[in-house]
Amino acid sequence: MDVFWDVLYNVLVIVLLVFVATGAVPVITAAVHFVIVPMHAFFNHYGKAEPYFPRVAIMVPAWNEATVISATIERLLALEYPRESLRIYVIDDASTDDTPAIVSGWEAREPGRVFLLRREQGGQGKAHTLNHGIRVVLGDDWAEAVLIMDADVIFTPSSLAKMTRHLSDPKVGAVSAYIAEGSRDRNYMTRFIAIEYVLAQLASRRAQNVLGAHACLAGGAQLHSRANLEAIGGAIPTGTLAEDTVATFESQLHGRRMVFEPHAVVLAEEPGTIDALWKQRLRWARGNVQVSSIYRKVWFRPGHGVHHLGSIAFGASWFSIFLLPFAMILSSIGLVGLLLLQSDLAELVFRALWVTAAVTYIFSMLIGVQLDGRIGRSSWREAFLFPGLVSFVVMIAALFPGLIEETLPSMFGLQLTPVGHTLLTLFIYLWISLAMLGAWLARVIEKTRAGRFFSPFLTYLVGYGPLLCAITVDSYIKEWRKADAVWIKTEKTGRVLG
Amino acid sequence: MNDTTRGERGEAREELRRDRRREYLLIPQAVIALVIVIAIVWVREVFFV
Repeated sequence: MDVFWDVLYNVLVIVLLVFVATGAVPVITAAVHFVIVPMHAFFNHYGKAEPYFPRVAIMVPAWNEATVISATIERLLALEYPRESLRIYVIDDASTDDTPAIVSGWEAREPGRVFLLRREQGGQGKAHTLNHGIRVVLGDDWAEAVLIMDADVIFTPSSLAKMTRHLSDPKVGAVSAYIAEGSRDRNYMTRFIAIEYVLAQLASRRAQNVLGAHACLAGGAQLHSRANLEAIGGAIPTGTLAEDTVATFESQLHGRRMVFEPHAVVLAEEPGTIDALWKQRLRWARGNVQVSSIYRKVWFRPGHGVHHLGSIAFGASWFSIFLLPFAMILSSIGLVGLLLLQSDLAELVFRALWVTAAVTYIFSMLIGVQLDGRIGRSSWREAFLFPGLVSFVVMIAALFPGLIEETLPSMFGLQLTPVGHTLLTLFIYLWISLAMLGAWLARVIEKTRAGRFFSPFLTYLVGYGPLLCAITVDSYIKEWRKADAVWIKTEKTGRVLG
Repeated sequence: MNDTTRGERGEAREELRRDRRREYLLIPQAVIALVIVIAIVWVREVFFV
């Protein structure tokens, strides 16, 4: 009988160790990604790019954009690009404000350069709106490339020419720019988003350039060659909440290369509150749940087809983000279980996990703040509090044993009791899961009077990363319950930097 | 494709060269990050383990 219990005990310990190891997978994947980033110095597409100025049709989907559309058209007309090779198509999605009238005015002032395409019935989402315009543009042979953008983003003057040069290589199907957070009135949330975009684009998409597989070319700045658009059916795939991701996948499945151009900068206005961010990211996260299912026969099949979407590295990267909340919860369960069974082993694996996480995090943030000097200078606090103040302290505790739990309290004449030590350990082991609850709470209290102060405070405490994880959990629940997948447009007010 | 002037093409080519060279900055940036990480791990190993 004792043998049975011994075996059961050992099996349980192994299962708990596997749970903890699950938490290490996204950390190691992130570490590999950031080690790949500097390789972009040698493995990039610049060697095959040439100055190239194809005739570009710019698609601007617009729904009630009266506050921003005029400035957007003006800036597009001022792009450093041959005047005769640029046409702007504003696809009005049955706006109820002055958008059509404003665009009609531009159409009259700039004949042959600005066009208004109007949908009488709107509200079906961005992909449907874009397809209305793409059908018109592909209807004649003028356009050699199609730029898909959002109505409120600002293309810096040289950005389009920096993107088109990659299309000189016929193997390239689409090019994306760096969408930088560019709100004029910045707050803690836009600064977190700014640093997230540096990590997710300037770092991660460079790594994806090297790996040869892209998860998503930003829908706010996606330049397709005509041949690529025609190959994927002459339209942006509809039916999901992630039309830009599906277009990126389809392009690669049809054998074309995607390129991220880090020096083509596009400024965008981003949400300034947790609630607005939650709504935007819930749509993205639900879209990613749908994409994970649609392409289930693509994942982890290296060598299949003409693309690299099936590579182990790309699959690990995709699912590390997609399943990150599960990994965090399993890791907490594993650590608490081990604490109850073998506290010494629990401490050993805790340190191994958190030291790896700390080293990866420090390395990635140090690279991140250097990649975009403007964002690095304004958002360095958010970079270092990205995982949250509590996790920051936990990392210090893991890196420097005794510093937090012994040395610091002793400086004030304090000493932890054995019960206090156990409770602190339990809290630390559970923290990565509790942080997601804290993020959810920050959203709940945001609309209260006290929330105006406590929500930002709580976000710094629990971290922006756990906030994104909480949104991902919400997306699982919404998809599982088949909640209405309404395409809710992120509210924009025209506060992007001019 | 349109008729771009020789000057425009020359500028574009120079910009392409410049952007390509700017990518080499990734190397010292990564080295700086790596040196700081190594220093932190060294402090841990020497003073705390």
